[in-house]
Amino acid sequence: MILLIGGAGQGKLDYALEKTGYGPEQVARTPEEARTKPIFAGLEHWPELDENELLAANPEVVLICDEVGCGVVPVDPAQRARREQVGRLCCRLAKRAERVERIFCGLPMVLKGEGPWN
Amino acid sequence: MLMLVSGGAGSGKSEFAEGLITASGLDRRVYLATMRVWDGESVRRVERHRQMRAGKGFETLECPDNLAGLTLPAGCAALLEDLSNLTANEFFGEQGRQGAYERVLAGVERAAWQAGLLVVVTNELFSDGMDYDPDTLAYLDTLARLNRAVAARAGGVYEVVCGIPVAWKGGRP
Repeated sequence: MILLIGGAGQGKLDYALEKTGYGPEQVARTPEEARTKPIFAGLEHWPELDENELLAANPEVVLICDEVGCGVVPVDPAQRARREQVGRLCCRLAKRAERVERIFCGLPMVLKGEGPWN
Repeated sequence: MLMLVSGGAGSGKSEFAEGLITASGLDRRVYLATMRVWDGESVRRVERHRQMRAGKGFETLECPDNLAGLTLPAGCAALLEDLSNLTANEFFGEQGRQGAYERVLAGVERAAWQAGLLVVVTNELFSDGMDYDPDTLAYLDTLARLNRAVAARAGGVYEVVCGIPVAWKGGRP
């Protein structure tokens, strides 16, 4: 599994498509679709994702998640909890990932993983 | 030695910061707790952090404000958690925003001078737009200046992303 993170609009999906050669129709938007598609974008909408189940079904998936924890802490407790949950999910995924990259202005920074990706 | 650890919510910065303390080889470990506990959520947060520290031999000193007035055991390894809370308590507290920057920075400098290692945890709060009320914006400005001032004085500055440290200063720990 490969994890790509970064702020909104930084070019994470474009980068993943370029690296893998897949097209937009190969991109899952729900955990259900992600069981059979090679790329899963929008992980930040699924803070309660069961990653064990997903990775058992699709161990080579490329996961894309917005970084959502880098702003003023929201007043609303549910929003606060969601940011925290997305952050923890990414920590768990990063531990298991063979590769973690952070995309900033379209440019990748490799946080984990040896050698080039494709 | 002074070190600064930053990151977003849920990024794993506390765990990394604790690792810096335990790796220091200093026997006496002090946790400088800045959060005022006032509701169920803060109680749970404190409990979660207590469990993370359990067995790592930390003694806890409460310092929600006036860090400069605190005496630390000489040569200890101290973990200040966190700069954003401490700054908010000073900024929105009794003494008010006037001089809040100076008070917090003096506290960090004094603590770093007393300790063998001071690890300061702070928060990355600055990448989510600036559509906030003037009070919040003024607080953000103060915290951002403090982050910069501490980073300038620190021997190591780390941003934790998904539990992975990015070394901005001082190389890999």
